[in-house]
Amino acid sequence: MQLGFYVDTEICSGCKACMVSCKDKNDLNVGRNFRRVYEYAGGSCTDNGNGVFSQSVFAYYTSISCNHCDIPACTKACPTGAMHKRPEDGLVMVHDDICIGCSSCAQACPYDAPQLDEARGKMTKCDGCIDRLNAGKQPMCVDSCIHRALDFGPIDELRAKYGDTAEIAPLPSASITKPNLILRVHPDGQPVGSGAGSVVNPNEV
Amino acid sequence: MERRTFLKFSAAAAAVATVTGCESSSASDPLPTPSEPVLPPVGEGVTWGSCATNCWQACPLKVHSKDGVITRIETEGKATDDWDSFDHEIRPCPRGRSMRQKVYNHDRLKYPMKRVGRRGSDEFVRISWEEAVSSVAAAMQKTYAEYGKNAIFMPLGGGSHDLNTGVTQSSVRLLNMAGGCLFFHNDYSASQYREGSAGMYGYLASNDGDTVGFWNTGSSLRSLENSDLMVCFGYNPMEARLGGAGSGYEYLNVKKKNNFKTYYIDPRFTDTAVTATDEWVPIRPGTDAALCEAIAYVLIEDGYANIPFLEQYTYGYDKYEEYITGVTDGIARTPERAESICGIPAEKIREIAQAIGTASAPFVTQGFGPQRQGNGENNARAVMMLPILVGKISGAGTNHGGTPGNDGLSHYAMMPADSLKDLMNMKIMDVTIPAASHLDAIEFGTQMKPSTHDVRYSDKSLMDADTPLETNVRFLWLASSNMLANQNGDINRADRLLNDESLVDFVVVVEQHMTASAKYADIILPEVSWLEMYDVIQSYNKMDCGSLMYAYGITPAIDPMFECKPAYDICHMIANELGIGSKFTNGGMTYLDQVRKVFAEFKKSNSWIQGDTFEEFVSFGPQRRPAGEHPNVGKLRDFVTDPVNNPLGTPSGKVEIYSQYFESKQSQAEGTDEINPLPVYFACDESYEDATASEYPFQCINYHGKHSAHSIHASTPWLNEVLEHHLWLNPVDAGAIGVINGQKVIVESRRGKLEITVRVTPRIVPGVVAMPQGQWRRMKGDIDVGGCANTLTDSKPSPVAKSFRSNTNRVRVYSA
Repeated sequence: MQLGFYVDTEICSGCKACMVSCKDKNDLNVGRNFRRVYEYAGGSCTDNGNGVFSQSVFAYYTSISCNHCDIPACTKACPTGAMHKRPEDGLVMVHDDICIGCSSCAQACPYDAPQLDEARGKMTKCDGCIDRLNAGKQPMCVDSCIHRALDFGPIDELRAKYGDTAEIAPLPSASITKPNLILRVHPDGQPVGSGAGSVVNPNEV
Repeated sequence: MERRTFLKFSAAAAAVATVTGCESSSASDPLPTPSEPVLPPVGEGVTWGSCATNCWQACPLKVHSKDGVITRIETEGKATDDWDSFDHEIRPCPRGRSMRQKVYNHDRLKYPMKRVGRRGSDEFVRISWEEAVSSVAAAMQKTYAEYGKNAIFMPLGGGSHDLNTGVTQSSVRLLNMAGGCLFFHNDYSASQYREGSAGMYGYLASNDGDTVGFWNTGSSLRSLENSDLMVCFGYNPMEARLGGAGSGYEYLNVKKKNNFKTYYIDPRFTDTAVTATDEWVPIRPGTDAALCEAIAYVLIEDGYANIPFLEQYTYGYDKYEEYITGVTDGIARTPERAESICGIPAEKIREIAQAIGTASAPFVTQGFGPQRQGNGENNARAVMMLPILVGKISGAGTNHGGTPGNDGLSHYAMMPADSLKDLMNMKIMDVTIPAASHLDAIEFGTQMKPSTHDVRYSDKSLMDADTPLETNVRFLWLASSNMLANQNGDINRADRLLNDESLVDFVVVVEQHMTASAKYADIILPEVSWLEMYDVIQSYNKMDCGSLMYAYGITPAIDPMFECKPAYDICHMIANELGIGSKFTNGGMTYLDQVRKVFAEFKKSNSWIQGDTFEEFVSFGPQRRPAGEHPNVGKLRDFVTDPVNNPLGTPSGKVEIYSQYFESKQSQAEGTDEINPLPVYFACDESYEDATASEYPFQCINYHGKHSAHSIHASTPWLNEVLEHHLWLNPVDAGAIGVINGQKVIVESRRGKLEITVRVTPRIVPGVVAMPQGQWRRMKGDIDVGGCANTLTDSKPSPVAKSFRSNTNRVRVYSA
């Protein structure tokens, strides 16, 4: 069985409730975010020179945590074996006792999932809220989403429900790590590698 | 358990002990018989708390704690979460989600303090509660004796907005009983809208004793299920009211269900428009009325104006038509004329007009951004003019052109007879000034009159005599309010006035955090946080907060921190010093007794609420039901059905296109202000067309962002990280002034300078910069590095409502 996330970029308003509830649940200091919301915007709004505007602007938000990938880049990069993928549910986790905090995994992950706990010198990341899963609950981010744009569960069931798209700009190509992620693409969603827009909120992620 | 119980009981007794220690001539308050308190949990526990912030959503927080320390906030989990059947969860936005950090924030006020440095310098020393309350009481008595009650002013505050027994309610009760004070009418947020809509429709259904009836809200967002067109002017619920059962979620659902066309008219491509995939129609700030004139021109020229409706239901349409078509002054208000003012191409204006003209059920609505301008009253009225022109202000899927509303639950204040109706009969209501005028009242209060500054007296003879205020304001009481040196216009002016000791004698601040305004206190009285309180919380009355009515009770998750006290107990201590303790407590009622009494009153008029006692009510958690339509909607429907027997509250009883109320106010115009009885456009100071502001090339607007409802959450680190405070700047403008995304810039107006991180984004029109309001002012030299929008704004009042023109500013922007 493999668990994964569903993210609806059409109805995400970038409110960041998922980020904050995750920080609250996991006691994350400023600078450490297991979930991040990317604002991708492009097009233009210009004055035609006579005081009249033309616009072709688009924008959308993508909330991304760890995608518990089929081919995780982080586990491959980890020199100690601390970063590992669990066979029973496919969740990618850190063995805290053997992690040396070298950040190799963070540099390798194209989704920026591993987040260094500088105070302890240990890598930390989304564990799917395993304690909540064991108690029969959904991860905190899913439960806290004000627009109900997030879902979590066995990836086969989610794909049957939502399809199997896993790509949208500014994310990397899904072929790199085979993420257990499903996206509903915003009507203005741009393809991976598109130069039509840019991440305008780098300081927030 | 024993220690905790002792603490609880001793809290009530402590107030009394202070009296016996320094007994004045008054009879001391008898020791209240404490009711069995509801204690915070021991070990692991769950309590209900509230994010009682001033966004109207009043989200319930399921607070987990362990050994007296809050550990996390959970989602309520008390509903099926089915929006269709009105059983959706009330999910808090990031503000509510970060509440644990707010409670334990570094800037919590811990002890009573007195000022030792300049006002605003943040130099305080710790003092005892006894010294604090006796200082406040002595200063009150001195002010009453020397200047009379109208020298004391309590500004508007949002820090306990959604409470029934919080600091606002306790303070009003105390001040009223102590001798009264000068009070305010209207507010900072939407007074131009209120006055404008009242000019046009009169006050619609104002429920008995419900002051909020004056909001003149309209149809519910759910009624969009029956609309075939929506036209939005600056209405942005997904940023301003995103949480809870809020209007953001409501709009999202109704939009997905019935995919009507939305023209989204705003200087910013907001998150609401992004998420609802609306068509963004970029407009220059303050030019909404110019756009509406041009839309009206097309509606009239193309025969869409509903003449039979206008003749039967409205007053003054002929004058309006003459103005729009150019008969009045030779200038026809055509789309071609308007496009270079508002920035919207003439063909787009015609398209919007055609859409309104041909829609069977158009829903025209507005937020509070367009009215927060120097010409805001007219922007609000001009938008309302559109559905009036086509005769579609009532009926399925339509709206009267104002902000959306729903029916809701009323608040119950701790008044002597426990109803808001009594508020109208209180000492503090007999003289009021506009909410945004208190700096004027400090500087030249005795020059403020009804005819010029909208001073209002309940005594008609004082109104008729155009009586000026008898005294300047000299004493300020801040109840969880940042409306002294942060949230009001022109903070540099506020700083100058507050530091003129010949003008300001005393500033009292009852607060949870060291806000920008708290730094100006003479005495600081630290209040418990929302998660250390008891109260009855309900969804805000009859405002735009989705289609649920909901209510729940809150109890402390933890014991009061440090030396913080509930506001009721603080005010009780001061009442004791003034010799009115027993009166204040209704003969010895504790804080919890008051909460229980409020619940009993609340239950009386809401029989659907489960639980016979406050404790039972708390145990049920959030309870909800469908809200139904706002009474205003029924009032309008009755008027349209039978206008003769159901007149509106306007002088003519009809919809006043030509407002006699505005006509009567024309003497109050000053400088370049215009007060025109017709809902038409004019250019005010620092508007787009003000050539004298050419050294300040950008228009600067500020909006209610996702980070903070007003300024309540400004110091929460998690929020400052994930919702960065920043200035929106169009890429074309960024190129022209040579700044890049993420760098620091200085924004400077005629009134001040601030430093802020720039966000280069195409989501803002060129020539305009936008920033969230609500960050706390923090000066380094002459630069506000905190980035408070009101370092830039003007305190000059708007023409009719005499309210805050926060979106009318001209600025320059350059690299820091």
